Amino acid sequence: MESRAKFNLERSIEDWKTTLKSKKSFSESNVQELENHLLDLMSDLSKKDLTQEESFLVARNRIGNIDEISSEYEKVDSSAAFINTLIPYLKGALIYIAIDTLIELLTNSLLISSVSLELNHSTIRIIYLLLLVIVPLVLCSSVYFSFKKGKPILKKLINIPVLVLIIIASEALNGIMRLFIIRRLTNQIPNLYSTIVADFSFYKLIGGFLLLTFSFILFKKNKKNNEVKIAE
Amino acid sequence: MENLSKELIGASSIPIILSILSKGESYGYEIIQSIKEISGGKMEFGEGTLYPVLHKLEKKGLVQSTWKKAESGRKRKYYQISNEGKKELSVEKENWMTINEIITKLWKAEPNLI
Repeated sequence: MESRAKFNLERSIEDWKTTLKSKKSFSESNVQELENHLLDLMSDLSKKDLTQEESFLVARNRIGNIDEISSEYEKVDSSAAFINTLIPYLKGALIYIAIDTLIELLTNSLLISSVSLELNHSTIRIIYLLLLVIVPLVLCSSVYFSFKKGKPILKKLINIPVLVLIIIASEALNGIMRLFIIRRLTNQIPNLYSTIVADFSFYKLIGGFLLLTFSFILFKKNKKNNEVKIAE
Repeated sequence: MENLSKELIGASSIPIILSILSKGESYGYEIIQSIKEISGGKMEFGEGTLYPVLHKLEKKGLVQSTWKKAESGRKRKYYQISNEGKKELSVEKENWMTINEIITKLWKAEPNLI
C-alpha cells in the first residue's frame, strides 16, 4: 500500500460534510452540529492510540449511514426538507424578476439621461441595444465563472434577501422614473419613447425565447445523462 | 443482560434527555456519553436517534439551544431545559412511576413471571 495517497483529514471531513449538505433534510446548523460530534468522537478515539485516519474512519462509521440519519431528521422536521427543495426554484424566479427590473431601470435611466445629454435618437437606440446585450452577458458570465471557481461573493448576491432588496429598490426607482417619464418626457420625445418601449418588449420576447431554448437543451442533456442503456 | 431494544430506547428517550438536561446544560456528544455511563453501557443512543429527538424537543419548546464557543475554539450547540420542559419532565416522571408500580405489583403477585 506504499503508493496510497497520504490521508488528508481536512479533505476527508470536507467530503463527509459535502455528502451531508447534499441531503435536503440537513440545515447548515445541523451539519455543523454533526461535524462537532464527529470531532468529539475523534478526539476521544485518538486517546486510544488510534491514528488520525483510523479515528476518522471509526468516528464516521459510528455516526452511521448518512441516508438513515437524514431520514430520521426528516421525520422530525419534514418542513426543512420541503423548504430546501423549494429554495432553488424560488431563487430562479427571483433572479428572473431582478434581471427584468434592473433592465427596466436601465431603460428608464437612459430615457431620462437622453434628454439632458441631448443625444441623437439613433445613438441612444444603439447604446440601449448594446447595453441590453452586454449587461445580461456580463451578469451571466460572471455568475458562471464564479460558480466554477467556487467564489462566495456571487453566492451571497444570489441570496434571497439580497435579491428581494434589489427588486424592491429597483422597482421603487422605476416607479419614480416612470412617473417622471410620463409627465415630462412623453411629450418631448414621443418617437424615442415608443421605439424604446417597442425594443424593450421585443427584447423581452427574445429573452424569454432564449430561456426556453436553454431550458430545453439542459432538459435533453440531463435526460441523456440519466438514461440507462442496456446492451442487447 | 442484553442491551435494551430500540423501541424501549425510543419510548424512554424524552424523559432521559430531559432528566440529564435538568442537571445542567449539555451538548449532543456529552448527552450520549452520560447515558452510556449511567446505564453502564446497556443503553446506547445513536446520533441518528439523539439529535432528531433534541430538535423535536426544541421545536416543542421543552428545550432551548445556544451556540457557544468551547475550549477547543469550536462553536458548539448547547441545550438547556426550559420551564415547559421541567413541567413535562414531572408529568413523565409520574407516568413512568405508574408503569413501574403496575409492573412491580404484577410481578409480586406472580413471582414466577420473572
